[in-house]
Amino acid sequence: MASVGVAFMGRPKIAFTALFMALAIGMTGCSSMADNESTVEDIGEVKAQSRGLSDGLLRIIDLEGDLKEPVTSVGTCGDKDADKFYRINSSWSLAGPPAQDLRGAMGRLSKVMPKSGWDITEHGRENSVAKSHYLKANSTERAFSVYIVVLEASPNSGRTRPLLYVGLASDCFQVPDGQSARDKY
Amino acid sequence: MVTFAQLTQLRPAEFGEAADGWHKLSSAASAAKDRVSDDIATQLQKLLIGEGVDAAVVRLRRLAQNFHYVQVESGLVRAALNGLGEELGAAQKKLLDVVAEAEAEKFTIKPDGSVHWVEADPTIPTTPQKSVQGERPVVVIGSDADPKRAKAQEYADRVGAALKEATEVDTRYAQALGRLHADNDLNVSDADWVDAQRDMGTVRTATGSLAEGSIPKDKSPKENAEWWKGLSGDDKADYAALYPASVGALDGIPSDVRDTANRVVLAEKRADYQTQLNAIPAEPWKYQPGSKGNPMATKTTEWVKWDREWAGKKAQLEASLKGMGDIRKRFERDIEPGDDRFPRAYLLGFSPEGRGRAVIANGNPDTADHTAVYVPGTNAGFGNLAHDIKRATTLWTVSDAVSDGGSVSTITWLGYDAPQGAKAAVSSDYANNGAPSLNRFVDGLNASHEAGSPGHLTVTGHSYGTTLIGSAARQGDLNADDIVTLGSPGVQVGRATDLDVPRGHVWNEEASGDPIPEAGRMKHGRTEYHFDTGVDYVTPSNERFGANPMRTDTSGHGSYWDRDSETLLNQARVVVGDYDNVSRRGR
Repeated sequence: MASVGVAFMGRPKIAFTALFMALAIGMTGCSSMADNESTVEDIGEVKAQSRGLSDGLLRIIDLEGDLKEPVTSVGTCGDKDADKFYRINSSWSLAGPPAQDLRGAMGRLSKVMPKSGWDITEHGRENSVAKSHYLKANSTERAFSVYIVVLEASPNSGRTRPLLYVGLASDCFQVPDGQSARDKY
Repeated sequence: MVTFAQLTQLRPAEFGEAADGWHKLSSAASAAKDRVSDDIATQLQKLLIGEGVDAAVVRLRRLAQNFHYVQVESGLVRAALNGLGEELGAAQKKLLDVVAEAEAEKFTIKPDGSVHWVEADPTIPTTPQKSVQGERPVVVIGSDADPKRAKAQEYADRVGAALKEATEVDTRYAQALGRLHADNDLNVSDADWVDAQRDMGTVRTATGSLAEGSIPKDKSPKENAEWWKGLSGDDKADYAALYPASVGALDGIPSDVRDTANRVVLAEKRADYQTQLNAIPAEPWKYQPGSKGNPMATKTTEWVKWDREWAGKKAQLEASLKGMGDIRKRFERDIEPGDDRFPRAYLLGFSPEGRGRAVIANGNPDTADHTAVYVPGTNAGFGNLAHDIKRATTLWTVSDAVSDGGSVSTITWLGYDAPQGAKAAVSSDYANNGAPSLNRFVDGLNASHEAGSPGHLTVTGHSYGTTLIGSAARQGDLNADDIVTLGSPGVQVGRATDLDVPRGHVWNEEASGDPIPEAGRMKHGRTEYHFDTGVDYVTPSNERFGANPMRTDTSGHGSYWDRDSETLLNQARVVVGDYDNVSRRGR
């Protein structure tokens, strides 16, 4: 894990029509769907949105260190039909900066995120031995939510240094007709 | 007919050298296959988009298939040549022993195999050359009543026997090797893989030395590991080439070996089942319109007959093929830009027969610092394998992100017949029957784990899978470090300390709105009587049970891996040994 600058290395592959759809969906926001329906969206497009959101969060964190870049994968939607329904999960982390810097980043996030398209639903300290700082938020612009924790290095944590973890996940989407989500990872 | 001259002059080492050449080819094909699919195809997709790339990727995947086929078939040639060299060598040794003994007794064996001796009798003016031959009309030169004749005849017979043995070996192997040819086209079809399966059978039958009986059966994983370690490199390659199903199923041997073997079985079985499915006659019209006296549509006789004969088999083949497809799709996973960390899949177990077994690891558990084995519950099977594979890959992505230095492997263990449907899930049989396999699999992981590096093992179960875990700990030894139970209807035992792991290392999650723990506890929980509460059906959700109650923020029975949830992160925190950061359910 090399030290990197602000943005991730990857470049999303965005085709014209998908971008158009993304804007359209972004404008409607999260809609209430029937249980057997979800917004139709191309997997590649949702993965691209995920990367965009992660980029934004990393900019707010504004720290350098050992960055574990996002692994973006196709996940399940409860027990719903795996052919039609999917969500995009993304996990990444940053270690290296001292605990107070990471906690500072957490503070920055809780201040800046509400101004950059996030609605913070929970924040504080976890009900754990380490009592790590955390927050949970929903995006107001995209159908995504996020869970961020600064995992402290306490005696029984297996850690020698703290780690800032970001778990980003989309709502459930539906693949376009003719495509299958089950084959995608 | 192998001649005396041929057998004495034989260089068995030549066969070994030829076999090595085929081994190099087999290894090269295997490496090429990996490079094409893991490296080239995925790099292409990283850099370019469009129809041209998609078409190129399809062709590259076909190329990878071709390499896989070459790997398998040349592995068979190699095994055959090795066997041939060994067996001819044995026959040759017998022959050379006879020659040496005979010459020590002053007999001479001529190139045609006849045994000659000289009678040194001073009373006879001429010194007649005498000889006999084995298994041929005896040619006698000289008079009878010669004490050396009997000895000579014995030598001749032994020569004959050695030549006969060599001829039999030669014929047997010629037949087997003669079968090993490939179609002269660039497409490895289902028929080619079915043929490869047959070739494997033929070479197996031909090779006398590597019998299937020599593979350990019903031994402990530790013993299996010792057996494998004791084999020469040659023998390891031969066993894997000839008996991939047996080798792939052996708990205790290295994961990369099991993966290679099981992928061969997968390729062959998929083609086999697809061929069988193609051969099933088309389903006839099911209904015919009603007639005058009976207006209701009825089933046609053709359909009823077809249904009786074929419907079950068709459904079974289709379900198996669906699962096999899910496994292959996992192998083909595209690497997105920036996703260099996505783990390689290892097929640690595979058999499509019956309900089917599949064990798929993300990352190599032999080298991983933290391994998690996920036991799925009701309805798990080849009909929805992608579901359970994805749960394990999701667990991997989160665990890997929080692990900070330690490598992670997560494994989907469909190593038992899971109950299908809520009714079946009432029975304890599935758990009790499947439990010993889990213990063996876990022991296998411990045995194959790299010596000297720490191996932290978590076994996590969902729903009925937890019942199996409980049964495993109850019936035998579940040699894990941590146990996680998700939505458990009960684990048959009443206390966390009954689950074989050290005290404090059982972790439970019950999501809100999950009906299963309540619904199943009377059947799968432990029935206890207490003065204050009366009858209690104890499950991991009970305070009495003594598990660590982990906080959840998801709802429902199927959502334990969903979202960026605390539910999921807590599981990952246990997997990587970050106990202090596991958040607990408030009381």
